[in-house]
Amino acid sequence: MRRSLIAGQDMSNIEMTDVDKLTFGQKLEMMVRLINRQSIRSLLDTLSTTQLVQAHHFLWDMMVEIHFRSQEHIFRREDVTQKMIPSAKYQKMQNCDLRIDYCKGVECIWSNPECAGNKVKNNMEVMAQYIIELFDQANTKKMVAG
Amino acid sequence: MRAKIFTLDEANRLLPEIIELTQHAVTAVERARAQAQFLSELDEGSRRESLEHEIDNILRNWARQISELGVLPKGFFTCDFQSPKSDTYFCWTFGEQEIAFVHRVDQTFKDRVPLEDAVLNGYNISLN
Repeated sequence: MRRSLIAGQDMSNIEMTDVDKLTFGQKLEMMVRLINRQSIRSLLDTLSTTQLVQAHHFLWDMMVEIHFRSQEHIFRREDVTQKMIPSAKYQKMQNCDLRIDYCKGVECIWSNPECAGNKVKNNMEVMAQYIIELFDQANTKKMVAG
Repeated sequence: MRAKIFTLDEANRLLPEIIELTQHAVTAVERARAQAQFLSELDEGSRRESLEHEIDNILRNWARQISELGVLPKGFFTCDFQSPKSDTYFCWTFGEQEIAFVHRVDQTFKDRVPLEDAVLNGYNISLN
């Protein structure tokens, strides 16, 4: 069963069907790929829009967790977001003339899931790379032991 | 597995077992990862795949063992304990020696706050 979703809806209040829920196995696969320094893109390509949004939250959390355990300095979101394609540039690349807020907040994830989904996936690849760099800065055992 | 309700004391009493389980999983992941990396350098694809499967199993087993204790496995070696306050989890991540953080049940690791701040900030939790 598919809900109707409108642009701008608060993603945290989405009512999910079981089919749409990001499964434990999918989260696990994402973690295993990162531990193995593999790309997560092909996994992301299999997710529904709702699952993709959840996967984004999951990956961001994982990144903050691993940073917390491995780094002495405080996590700054800019350290990651500055490596992402700026929304204005992404919009230009897509020939999109909507207000930039739509792209910044990924407001059109539901109305234009292909374009916004691609942007989310690109950003998630940046996050994945950041996590892999954290892994590489120390071996896992030492790192998670903090 | 249904999450148990833990007072702060109960959660802290369970922590040594959780730390031991997690340390074991962390060590096993590291070992499997090192083997996988070594084999990928030798281009032994199928053996490497089996080690990746092993990492999957280690993480899966860790999550199962944590769940069996009535605790909620979250993310990468992080656990939540349902506190007596229904909207609040105690949050622990590997490397910590005691429960020192909380967040609301609809929040995650990135939102957690130190216990003392939580009280000050009006979390109004029953710590024990």
